[in-house]
Amino acid sequence: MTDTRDSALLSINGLKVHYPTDEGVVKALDGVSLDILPGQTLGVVGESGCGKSTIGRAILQILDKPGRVVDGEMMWNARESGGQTLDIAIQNPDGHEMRAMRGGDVAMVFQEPMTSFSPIHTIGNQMSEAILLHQDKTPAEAREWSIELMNMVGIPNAPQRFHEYSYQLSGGLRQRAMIAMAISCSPKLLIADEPTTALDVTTQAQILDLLRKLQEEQKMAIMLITHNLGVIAEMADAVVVMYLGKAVESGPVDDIFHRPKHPYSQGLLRSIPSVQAVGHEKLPSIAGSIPHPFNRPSGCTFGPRCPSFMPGACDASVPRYMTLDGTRQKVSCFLHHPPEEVEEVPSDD
Amino acid sequence: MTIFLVRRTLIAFLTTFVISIIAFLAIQLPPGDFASVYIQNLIGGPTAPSTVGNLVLEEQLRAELGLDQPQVVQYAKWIWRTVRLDFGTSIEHSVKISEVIGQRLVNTVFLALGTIIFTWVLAVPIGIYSAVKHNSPTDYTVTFVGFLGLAVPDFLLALSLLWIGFTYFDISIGGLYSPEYLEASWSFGKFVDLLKHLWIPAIVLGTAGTAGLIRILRNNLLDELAKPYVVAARARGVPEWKLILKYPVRMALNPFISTLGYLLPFLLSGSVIVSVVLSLPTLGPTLLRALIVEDLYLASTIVLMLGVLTVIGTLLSDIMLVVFDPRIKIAE
Ligand SMILES: Nc1ncnc2c1ncn2[C@@H]1O[C@H](COP(=O)(O)OP(=O)(O)O)[C@@H](O)[C@H]1O
Ligand SMILES: [Mg+2]
Repeated sequence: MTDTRDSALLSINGLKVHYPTDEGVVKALDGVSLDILPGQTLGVVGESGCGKSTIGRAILQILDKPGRVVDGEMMWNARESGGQTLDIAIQNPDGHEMRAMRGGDVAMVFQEPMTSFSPIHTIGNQMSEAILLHQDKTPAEAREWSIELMNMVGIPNAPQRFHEYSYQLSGGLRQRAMIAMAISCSPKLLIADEPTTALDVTTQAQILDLLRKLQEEQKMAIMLITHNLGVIAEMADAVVVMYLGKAVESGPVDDIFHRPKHPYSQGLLRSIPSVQAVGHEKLPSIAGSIPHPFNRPSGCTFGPRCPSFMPGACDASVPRYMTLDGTRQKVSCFLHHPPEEVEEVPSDD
Repeated sequence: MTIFLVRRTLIAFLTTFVISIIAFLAIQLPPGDFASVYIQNLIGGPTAPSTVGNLVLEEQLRAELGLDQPQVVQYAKWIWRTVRLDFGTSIEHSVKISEVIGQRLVNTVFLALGTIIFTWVLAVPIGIYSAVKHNSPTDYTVTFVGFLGLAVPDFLLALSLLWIGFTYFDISIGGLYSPEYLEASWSFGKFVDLLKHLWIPAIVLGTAGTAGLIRILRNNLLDELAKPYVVAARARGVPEWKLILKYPVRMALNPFISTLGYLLPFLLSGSVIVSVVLSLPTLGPTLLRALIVEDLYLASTIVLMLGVLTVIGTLLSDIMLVVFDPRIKIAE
């Protein structure tokens, strides 16, 4: 709401991202809204294909071709650091502002630490590159700083690792190197897109511990993208549940886990035996399957899979995404929709 | 790294040895040996009646060259002469083979280098542009022109250029040197003169290769551009052009470095017809002629040289690949 929007580090409102392909337009983000508060971890959760990675990419304006932002705003609040509020959505992707932001104020950690490093450049080369781009350092200083960062994230033999290639490191070390690179320029926001999905369970836990430790030290916000609710439970302060390019529910992590309001969130939570269990590779599925991207249901897109589907309401119009009275949760569902808020649907009262 | 180099060098020597045996056997293949062909040539062709005198002469020559000895001994003698760059005598020209091919070898290497440079200078930037702006009008145009380049036979291109030069500019564009430099020894002036002539055959020989290289580079690069390491580099703020050149282009070029070695012999054999059409003094036409008139030592010398050039080229490619791609160092 307005209070969080003002204090938010990044406030995304009604963001739409489309991928116009030969077969049709994929509406990967169809009006998503979320706020990221400074120093907090926002978990973004949802089934594969719901647009989680697209949000992360959109924030850095590095959408894969042919994706583009078609509507909405992404307000970056730089007032705290003496700058002005910047709408990322209307920035030129190749412009100075965006390039300074990438790897500077906003850094990213990817799912595949192996393929996210160039196989023919050393780890050190790529780390120094990030540092030299954003900081006023000589190559020797950048090397020193890289090695210090590698020590910080727990990479043994850092000076030697600096000269090695990604395939010489284990998966866990690679992801540590990726994280070291991401925090090299003290970002205010770290976007971690499925940072532990490609790792084994033990390593997953270690990487999550590391992220938590670094967040405390660096006071950065983390946007943690995952389809793993266990990871969210362990890490997040707040959660956004996404379905088909929209946020369907959000709120503090405890509220979402204990009192989910949206049938989709309820389904997701029911599908894991214990929210404490880290290491679920995949969410057991909710009834039905995700609709084809070109063929979205009308009204509430979750309608066809929803156990509480109400004919005449859910398929007629789209529920508003709004704060539920007396809670800190926002939800988009006609079960919680005050009747006067219903639009474009003939009401019976 | 050192082990890798030593091993590759040993393999190179072994390959050269095998090639030399094949080249040697090729000499033995046609009916008759060097002595009989030589004598027949002297008296005017295989149909001329042999006389007793000729036969005696033939036997003498045979003894002189050691042709009556076992093949292994003959091979040893031949290879011993060859490594001292004594390739024997050309039957047709009756001069030392080194004299027949020396200048032509130099011309051939220059032509090959010129063609490779032409190909790369043109293909690499176009291929990169085509991939980065893929499915743009420029990309489609390049693709279309590229297919034309692939489809038009070299000799047709050569003939067309000759004709255009002759009818519209009144110049003859054949050859590699102006008449005044033909017999001159090497000087800066001669080199400049060579460059002035070289570009036409380089275009003719390089067109198909350029089109092919653009095509493959574009497709390799398209694959690479979508890889996570490119996205990751973009996400840390690397400027787009710098990013493309540093990461995906280098990856996309790797396959070409490894095939660089094969280009040399490929260009040699591919250049025979073009060299005939454009009257270029290269090895190609000489090899063709030597094979037709059964000038055995000349032919096998050229074959051996092509083989050695291939081996050297491959070795160089291997070394370059190790320098460019660290993964190979470790794997070896
Ligand atoms: N480059 C692209 N071209 C076309 N469609 C894409 C592209 N990238 C993603 N999409 C589509 O956008 C939707 C969201 O994808 P993504 O953001 O990767 O989802 P998630 O990360 O939640 O799995 C999917 O339907 C996917 O097929
Ligand atoms: Mg994803």
